[in-house]
Amino acid sequence: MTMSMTKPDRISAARRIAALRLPGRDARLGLLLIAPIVLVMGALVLLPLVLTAWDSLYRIDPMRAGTPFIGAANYINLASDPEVRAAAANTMWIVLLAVILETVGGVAFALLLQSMGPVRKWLLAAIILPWAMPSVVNSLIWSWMFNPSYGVLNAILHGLGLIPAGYVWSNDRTAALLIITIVHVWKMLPLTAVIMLAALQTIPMHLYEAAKIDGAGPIRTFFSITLPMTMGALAIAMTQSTVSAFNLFDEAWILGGASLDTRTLLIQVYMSAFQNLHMSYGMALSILVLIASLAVSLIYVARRRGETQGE
Amino acid sequence: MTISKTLSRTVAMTALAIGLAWAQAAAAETITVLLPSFGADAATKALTEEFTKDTGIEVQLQTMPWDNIRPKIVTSMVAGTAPADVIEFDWSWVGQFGAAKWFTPLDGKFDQALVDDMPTAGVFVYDGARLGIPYANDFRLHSINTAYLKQAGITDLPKTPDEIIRDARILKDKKVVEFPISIPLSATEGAATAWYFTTRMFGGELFDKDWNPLFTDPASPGYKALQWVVDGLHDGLINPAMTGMSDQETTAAFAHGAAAFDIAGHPYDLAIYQDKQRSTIPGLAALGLTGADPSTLRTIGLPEALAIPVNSEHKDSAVKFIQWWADHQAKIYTAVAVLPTRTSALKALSQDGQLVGGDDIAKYGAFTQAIFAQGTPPWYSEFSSAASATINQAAKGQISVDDAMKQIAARAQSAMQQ
Repeated sequence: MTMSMTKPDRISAARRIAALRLPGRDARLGLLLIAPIVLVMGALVLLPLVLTAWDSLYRIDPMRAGTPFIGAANYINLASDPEVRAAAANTMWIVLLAVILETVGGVAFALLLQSMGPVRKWLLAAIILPWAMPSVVNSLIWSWMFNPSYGVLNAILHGLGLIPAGYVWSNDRTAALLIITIVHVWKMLPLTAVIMLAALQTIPMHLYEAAKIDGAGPIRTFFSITLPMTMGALAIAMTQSTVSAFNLFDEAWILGGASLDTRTLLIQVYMSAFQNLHMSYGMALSILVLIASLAVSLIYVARRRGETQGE
Repeated sequence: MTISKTLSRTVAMTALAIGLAWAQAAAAETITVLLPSFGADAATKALTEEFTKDTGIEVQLQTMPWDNIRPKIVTSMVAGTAPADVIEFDWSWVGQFGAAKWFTPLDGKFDQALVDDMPTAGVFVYDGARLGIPYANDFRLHSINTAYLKQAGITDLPKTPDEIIRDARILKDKKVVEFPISIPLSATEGAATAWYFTTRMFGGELFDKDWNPLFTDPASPGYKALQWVVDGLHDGLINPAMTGMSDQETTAAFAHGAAAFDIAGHPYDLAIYQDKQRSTIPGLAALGLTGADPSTLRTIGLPEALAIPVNSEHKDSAVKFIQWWADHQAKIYTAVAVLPTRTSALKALSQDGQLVGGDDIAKYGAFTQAIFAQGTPPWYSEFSSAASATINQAAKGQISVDDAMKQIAARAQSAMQQ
């Protein structure tokens, strides 16, 4: 008995082959709808990124004639620049502390909001306020509160006997970095809380009921049900925390200025490019900052992907 | 028919009038002027309106805090657009912006007599080209709260840095003021220029003619100057909060009685101290200058100029604006307290009794010298930010004066090689 295709079979096969070459109508519509944002992202994000990376291989300095190709010279010089190393150390310190505080604090606030019932919406609105405030305004207000002469926080802490009168926070590197981190966390923690709250609300209630019947306490329930079910959202929240901490500028500039104690990588980029007019040097540093923040973020995403594939 | 003719004539005349007005408006040139905020924007605007009345050239005035002007210039020029037709041009930008060829040479556009009347005109010459005409005079000298000195029984103003320390100790011991000396120590330009000034107080220079650093030797004036500040902090004579204060904040604090000596004050601060709206010490402040050798007093000049970006499209009108501003320096001083750069204007104001502290300003202004005799180098910005950041570290006790001087010298030499 020979195998041969009937006419309907041939038509069906033809259609399947055609479908591989051209997307269907729905897919085409989808592509059309996302085309504007792809174009905008390409023009405003991808293209500048590619140009920056390309230009970082040249010497672009308005004070010197020509723009010769110098290859990786900028990157090599960055590695031995003591100011860049100081800025990198400050930035890593802030990133580590900010991610921990925002994650732990964000999850805690989300759990609190989840348990609030009808009052939740008012508390949510209050928590969102710091995030809605511009970073510069936020930082200025905190700088006034920590002012050694008239700051309200200094007055309260001195009244409690915790600090001497006229304590200057910025004179101690650890205290200065801690304050900058706290101001940044104050602003960004609400975003983590909102992301986690949304994830918490997708967890089916019957899982908690079953856990209760089985005799699981709140801590066991959190680690066995809540945390695993919100891992995806947690990865997203930690990614945004990491990236925003790596890109910290406003808080460090307002509270510490160009001081080496608190100078972050983005402040160093600004000073290299716009103060010292070593444009491509600043570009090279900004590329390195991008790579570092992506590398750290990928750790969360890859781990989450690994867990998903293992399920 | 008659009505129709009248109506036609009326419409024609109206159209003609509108057309002429439009043509006149189109013909009137408009220039943009970017200046720092002198704290009197309405008065500055009124001055530009006078210029318009005199010349017919319209002015779009933009004012902003001084620290924001440089980033605006850099980003605009890198993008290929002029930030304004006439802009503020600080002495510290001459090397960098001159090397970048961002400004129009003004040689031959102003009378030599005008230039000769401005002792600081030479600061704005780069590679033989005059890039700016100075409009704001600035140098450093001490502001002294004479009421505090009187309260402590000190009858004579100090003449040397050591006498300042001596008097500060008396003021502190007698509890007249907690921190008698103020000097900006934050990582800002004000801290760097304060160090340059105190180096002059100790009778020295920062670099030799070949740009070799002169401040790494403990016996050098630059080294002694920073040691003097650090010792003052250690002895409780300088407020530790100075590590977070710019020069403007230091002036404001002095105006409210926070110190007896503002080491790196400005000549125009006296006008602030006399103003009851901005000061609690009107009539109590005096100007002074000290030196390790009181017979050879020296100070540093930090003038500002008006300049024209190379890509300005209204260069001729911009020159007229600069000329007008130079011709009316005395009037500008009375309006917005910008200290004249012309010797003739300073003398006229002093003779009329309109220059607050005029005699002292004229007296100490005569000791002004450029910070760099060779001209401001292109690497000045890197040197200045390294100097201010390092001074800030030394003031916080994070590094020794010896390490600080070596660090600044190393950074200067690295910047020179780039």
